[in-house]
Amino acid sequence: MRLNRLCAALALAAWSAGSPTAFAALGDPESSVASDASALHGEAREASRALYNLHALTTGGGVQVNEYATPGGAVFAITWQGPSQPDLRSLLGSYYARYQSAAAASVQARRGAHREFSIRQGDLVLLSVSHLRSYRGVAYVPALMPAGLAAGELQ
Amino acid sequence: MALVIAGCGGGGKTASTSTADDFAAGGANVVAVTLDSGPDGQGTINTLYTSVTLCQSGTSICVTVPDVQVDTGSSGLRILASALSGGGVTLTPMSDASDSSRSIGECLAFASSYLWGPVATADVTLGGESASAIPVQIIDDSGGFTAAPQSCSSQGTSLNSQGNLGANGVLGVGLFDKDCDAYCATTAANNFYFSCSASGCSQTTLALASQVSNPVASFATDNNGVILQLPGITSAGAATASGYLVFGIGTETNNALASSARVLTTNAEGFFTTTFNGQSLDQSFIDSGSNGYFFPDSALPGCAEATDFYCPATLTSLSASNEGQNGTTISTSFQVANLDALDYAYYAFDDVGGTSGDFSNFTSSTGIFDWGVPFFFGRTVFTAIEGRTAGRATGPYFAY
Repeated sequence: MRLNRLCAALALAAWSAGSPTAFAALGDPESSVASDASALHGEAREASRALYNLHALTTGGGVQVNEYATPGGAVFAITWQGPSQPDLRSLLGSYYARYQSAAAASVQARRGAHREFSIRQGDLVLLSVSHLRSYRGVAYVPALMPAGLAAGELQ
Repeated sequence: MALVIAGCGGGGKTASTSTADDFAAGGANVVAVTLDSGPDGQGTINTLYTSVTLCQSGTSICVTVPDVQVDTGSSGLRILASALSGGGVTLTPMSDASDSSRSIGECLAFASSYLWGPVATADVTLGGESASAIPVQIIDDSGGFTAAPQSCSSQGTSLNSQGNLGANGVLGVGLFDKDCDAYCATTAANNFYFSCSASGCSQTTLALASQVSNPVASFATDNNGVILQLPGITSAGAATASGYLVFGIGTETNNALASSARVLTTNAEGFFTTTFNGQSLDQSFIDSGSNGYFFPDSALPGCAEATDFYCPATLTSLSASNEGQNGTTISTSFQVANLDALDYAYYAFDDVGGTSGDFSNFTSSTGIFDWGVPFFFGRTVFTAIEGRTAGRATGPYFAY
């Protein structure tokens, strides 16, 4: 399949050290989700609901990533689940700097390794749990959530 | 919790037929753990420390590293490079089996942080127990190894320093033998192990035998799990505390799986289910590497500065129910104090709690209850390694 050959060609490029790749990420336009699938060497399945479009990807590392986009075309939420933690810079996009700041503050406040991490700011909610064998998390932008959709529906 | 059986006659050690394990008499399989202000005196509450001896494999060139964090929530020994070199020990990074010019690096990701550094083999001694030539991780706090790749550094803040880690290393003695297991042996994009040259790293699988592993699992005997016992303390906490880390369950006269201990088996990911406030939290675990009870409770106010933690106005008594995969259910009570009202000079508390993040709204996980260090005070807690028979049950399990 064309997508598989594209994946094979991009896999090394996407995962080699120090080469940032432009991904669709939280807050980005939906149209770039396709490049996300390639860059993560994933296969995308798509489902539409009345309120959002769901793009489900499985990365080359076997992590399941769900990207939720509004009908207007913005990625308002991302969830991940798998045996390792995915590259969060790729997934969080323009919110990555905020993630790093909050992470630094959490280590400043309580040093050492944490199993769980949460960010609750007006324009960014993030929850993650890290445990050998199981890593999962969710990040969403409340202001971009479609009216009528509860965070509880995000998988 | 120690129960003395009277009338057995004679002095010295007695084969324990009691319902609790008494470790005061010591033994080759017993080491002390302490809670205090840590290696730099900066202090993080509820951090369990012990000493670990590492030797260049097959030699007597060794260093005993103090203030290594005892962590039943992970597997594998990880030591600051500076602690090794400071003690005159040199461990050579493991070569990539498919390209000897490259070395193996590991990224261990946590929720907002990571450890990075090369894998190497060493002889590891804890008390009177030894493991020969086992893979360990060197935490690269001296910058002598290739820099962490982006997929690692994107996990958050580096813990590659004594100041950020709060310890000289981490002794992972949890439910698993290998820190990654089949996943890393078969999937190259695992984000744990990397093949590195001086200029960069690329993804790689790593054979099971080369993966960083739980030292206890490699002991010749007493290798099926650990027991952790801390003394009971009052709700005001204590400046310091000390307890025991014991190797083996049901393998010696001093480490029987107590008849009063109830076994909670876990799923393959190491979780059991905690029911709390009517919520069923299906990714729950007991973890000496967490320094509080971390659980979702919207009724408890967060602290003004340490926003991870809860600060109820008064000491709050709560209860939850833990259920293993085996169906055993244990009703478990606990208390949460106002963190801001506790003594700033104390490092041991059985009543600090904080948020685990409320996953109740997300259907893919019903949430977590992380039973951290406070849980261990006044208890004898058994952690059995996956696939190992330990007393009357087989790991992975927790028992208390």
